[in-house]
Amino acid sequence: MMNQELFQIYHLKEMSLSAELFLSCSILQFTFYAVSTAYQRRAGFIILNQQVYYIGSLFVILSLFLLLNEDLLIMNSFNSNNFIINDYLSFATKLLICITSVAFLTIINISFRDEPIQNNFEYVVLITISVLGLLLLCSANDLITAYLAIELHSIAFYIMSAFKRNSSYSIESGLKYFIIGALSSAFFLFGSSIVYGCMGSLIFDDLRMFFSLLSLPTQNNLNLGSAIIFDPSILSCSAYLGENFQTNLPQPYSTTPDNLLDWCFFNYEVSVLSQSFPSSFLQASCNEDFLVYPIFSYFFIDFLTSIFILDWIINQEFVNGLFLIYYDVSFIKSFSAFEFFPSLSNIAKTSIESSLSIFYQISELYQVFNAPILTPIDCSMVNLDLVSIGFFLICVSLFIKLSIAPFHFWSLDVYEGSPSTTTFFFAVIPKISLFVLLMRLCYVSFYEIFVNDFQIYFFALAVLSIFVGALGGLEQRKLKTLLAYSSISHTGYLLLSFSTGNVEGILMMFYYLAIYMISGLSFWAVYLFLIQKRDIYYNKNNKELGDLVLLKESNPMLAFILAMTLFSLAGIPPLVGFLIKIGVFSVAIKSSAYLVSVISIVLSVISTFYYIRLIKILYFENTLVGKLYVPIRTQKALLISVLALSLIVLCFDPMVIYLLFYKAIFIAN
Amino acid sequence: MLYSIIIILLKILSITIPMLLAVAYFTVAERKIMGAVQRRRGPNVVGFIGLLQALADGLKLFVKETTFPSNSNLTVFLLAPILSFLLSVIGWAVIPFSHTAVLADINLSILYIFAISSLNVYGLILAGWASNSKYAFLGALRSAAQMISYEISIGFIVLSIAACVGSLNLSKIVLAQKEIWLLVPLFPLFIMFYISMLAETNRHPFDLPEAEAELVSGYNVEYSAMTFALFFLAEYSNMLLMSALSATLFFGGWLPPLSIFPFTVVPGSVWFSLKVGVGAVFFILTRATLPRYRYDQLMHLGWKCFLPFAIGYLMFTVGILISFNWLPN
Amino acid sequence: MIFLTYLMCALLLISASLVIISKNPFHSVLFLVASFLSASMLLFLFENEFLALFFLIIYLGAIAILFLFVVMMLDIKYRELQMSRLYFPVGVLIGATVLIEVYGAFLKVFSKNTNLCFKEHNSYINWYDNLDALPDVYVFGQIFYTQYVLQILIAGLILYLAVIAVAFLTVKTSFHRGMVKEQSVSRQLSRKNVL
Repeated sequence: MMNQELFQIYHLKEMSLSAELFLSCSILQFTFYAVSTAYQRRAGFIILNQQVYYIGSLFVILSLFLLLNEDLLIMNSFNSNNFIINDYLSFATKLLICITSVAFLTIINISFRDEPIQNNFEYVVLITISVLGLLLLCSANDLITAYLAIELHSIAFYIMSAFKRNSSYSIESGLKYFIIGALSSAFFLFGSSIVYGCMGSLIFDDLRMFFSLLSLPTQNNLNLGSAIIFDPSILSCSAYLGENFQTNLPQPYSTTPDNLLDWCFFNYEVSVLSQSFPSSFLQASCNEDFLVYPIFSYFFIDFLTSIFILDWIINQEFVNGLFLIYYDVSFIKSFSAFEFFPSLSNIAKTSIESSLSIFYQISELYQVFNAPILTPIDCSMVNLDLVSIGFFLICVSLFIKLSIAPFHFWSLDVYEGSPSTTTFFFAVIPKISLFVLLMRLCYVSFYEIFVNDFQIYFFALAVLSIFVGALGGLEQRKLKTLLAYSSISHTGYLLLSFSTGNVEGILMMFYYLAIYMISGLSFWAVYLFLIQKRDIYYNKNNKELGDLVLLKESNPMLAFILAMTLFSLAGIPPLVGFLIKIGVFSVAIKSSAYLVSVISIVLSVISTFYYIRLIKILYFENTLVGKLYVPIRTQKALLISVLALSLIVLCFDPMVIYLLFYKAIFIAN
Repeated sequence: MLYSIIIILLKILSITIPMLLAVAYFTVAERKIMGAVQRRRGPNVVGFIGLLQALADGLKLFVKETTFPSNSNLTVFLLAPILSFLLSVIGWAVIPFSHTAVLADINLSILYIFAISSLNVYGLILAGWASNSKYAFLGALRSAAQMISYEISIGFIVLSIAACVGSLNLSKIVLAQKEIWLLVPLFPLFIMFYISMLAETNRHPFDLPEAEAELVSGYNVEYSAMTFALFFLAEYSNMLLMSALSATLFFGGWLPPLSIFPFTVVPGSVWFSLKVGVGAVFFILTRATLPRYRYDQLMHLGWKCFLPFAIGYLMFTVGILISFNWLPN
Repeated sequence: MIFLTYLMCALLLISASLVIISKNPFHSVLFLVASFLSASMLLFLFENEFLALFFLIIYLGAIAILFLFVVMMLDIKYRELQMSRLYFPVGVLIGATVLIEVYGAFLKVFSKNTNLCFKEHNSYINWYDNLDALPDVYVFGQIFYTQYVLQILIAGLILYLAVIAVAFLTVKTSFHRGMVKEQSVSRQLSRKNVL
């Protein structure tokens, strides 16, 4: 008894944020350390140039380890009062972000080593705080947490882009980014307040529950004129056979117990009904409409407990008692279940029977309850217009942050004006967590609105982004703006595969994101390692097309690696960029978006022009005079070669990344 | 309905009119006490021993011509003194004069006073900007920066007091001092509060923004006659309000020093007035004795000395309260 | 009471639109102050006194003053309502469209429906709340530090980041030798013309 009270100070479920907790505490400690050494006159203003990057990468690596050893992952738990979700999707994306951030910090550490001494430890603080914000965003289950995480990393970005204080170019880009970012946050807040006003809750799963109830059909062939607001806390009633079931009044908020053991047992309770077979059931099961019935996998997403329940069912008397289980039907048919539990092979044989009976149980739920709480569906109160507006405003805000056309104008100036390392960070890393948030919005909570009303617009915006990215980069002479346009077009492809609305689309999107991050890392590494050989320190780092001339003479390996990266970005076969582009287009075609696919394929061909032009400048120029670059060191060479080779290797063995993400998409069933 | 309105109006008048009289005689008291410190008499010509000086000053200001700068924005120019005076009178609504005499006994009265003092800055800024004169502008900026700097430490001090008392209600704060005045456990905070009060009301030794030598009287240089009178009244009324606030927060409000026989005969409001009077006299005495702070010293004091100390003392207080389980209810 | 609510809403809308319309930037900030003030009064009318006073302290007492300082010190010139031919009509068109959409959606969602079955929609009267209501300060304390702790921690991190960012952008110690403009106080105060 005493032990329980002691350990209730720190609930086990809060452990799922251990990586973020560690990272935040370490950032605070690091700031104290850095301020006390770098700004102290007595100590002589100790230079902290390189060690800060090592310290920063150490922090991110350690939080990566904490993340990897997170055993609570299988529970798909909700923590911090349902504000943080800890499922496989968040794990996979956090993993990717951490690995890429470590690579980023290593690359800029190596690239800063040749510059004169600066004492800017704040850069690492800003980077680590933005990584923290991105990690929080990946596992946010709530619009408030998402907003706070977006603000956290956005503010770090604003300062990072204004980092060179004596360059007005940089400060101007920081200011522009700040204003546009504040505008997009304002849209986000407005959308969330509308959603809150209509729904009463901002948690993604609550929204999903409400919308799934609304998708019940109101046709006459189903004897179902009403739905019941169901709340899983009803399950806490004890199970008893053969008697009528009195429900409690639903609680306004479902509370899951904090204790881990109680939580496990909470999932085991079932409720029992006794009823006769409704006549319209068979009729209903023949329709497609039946599949739209909400299956409360909110409660049983995880693997283990559902298998346990299934096991328990099998050992019960299946004929007499009518057991009601809430179960994810698709999971029965998934192959992985059969491999692990041989007792399930019974179900494999009699799958139709069992699935029919389970469907039957579920339909009982809607017909039988004596609950006095009814919600008529075909009344005018269930009107999704205002919520759609709120949802769309939130999506607009995320599009602004992702720099999707027509909201992309800020990214061109900001990418050009920021210091190169900051542009590196912007272009590569934040997109994944913003897409995770977008996915949770569109696929988990607002799926019906997304599919019915807004999918067309998402396709249109995707095509527009590809269009802008393709045509805008054609006449660019500066490399950074070229990269900005190319990132706009890649975000367009991501949005294209995202908006298909089905599971393969999301899978392809995550795959594209992973490969995009790798090729982005490789490109920017080459960009940063090209330091001109001059007598005095040359501060201006913005490279133009002409700066790459005759790179094959001064540094042939670097030119080769750059060429490979560019081929991957363009989508040329023996590199993995080709596979992902094909994947995106095939997914789009599979979901019958033919016109969109054709247009985007054509535009993709157009966009290969500026990539191939770079390769032409690298290899095929006829000039006699080019720029001379400092030869790179072993560490740099090692890093770049690993990145570039992975681009080829992944083309021959793409399953590595696929395996990382395939489990992540199950939340969008 | 009408009856309650009339009662409330009477209550307001019974606070405002004595307050205005008090302000008027505060000016006389200031000049006389400063004179006494400097070994001279103050004004002693006008009334019996100079007691009608306030009326004479008021009459002079009333009769003078009110000038408007030609390039100034007249709306804003006139809005500034009105705003200042209005805010300084409004703040008196929540001060408890005795255990029955509060105009508005709201649960958030400290927060209300804090909000009023935050809005005081606007009077200065608008006055300075609308005067269309360099000195006024600079003086207003300096004043405003100084005021908001010291407001923050006042906020943290008030937080410590609220943690000790458990409520933001001024009457409850007074009642919580029945055993002992909050002066005793929170003495460092009282010193900081006193100094911040001086800075908040732009009063010597923090009156660089309105010093005659440097900035030619600062933000109200272009104001004459009635508008100046309004500023004047606002400043002194603010001073009295701050004295009353410190009396309520630290000195026990309307409570006698010891709850024994001779002291409890005297009604609470008399004790309160005594304490406010002592506070007002201390304002005057600091003006007479101390030299002026330079502006950067002032800002250094506000941000780098008082603010960390106030936060630290808040942590200390809350730590002690939690450790000994002395948190109020 | 309802009249006051409408009045404050109207004031808010008017001052917010005057922020954009007025030519003098100082007037814009003053109307911003007026809109904050009416928003705060609106919160008073919604029985949320703590938040209303907090608005006054934080928004009016700190943020708007910051805006005023910036506007006064930047010396922004009087600017004509410089419209390119296309901005104003297109802007009005887009704004009107969005306004009509949102208004239409609001009309449909919030309808005056006295149908009794709506009353039973997942509601029951919590008599404890009706009898023993807490002031809003206590509610904030009870909810913020238990349910929403994570949010408060993240907000604290954001403020921390803001402090670091501001200190980085503005502080110039003697380490940044080329960039500092300092004043030597002893030189300013000394008697002779020591330059």
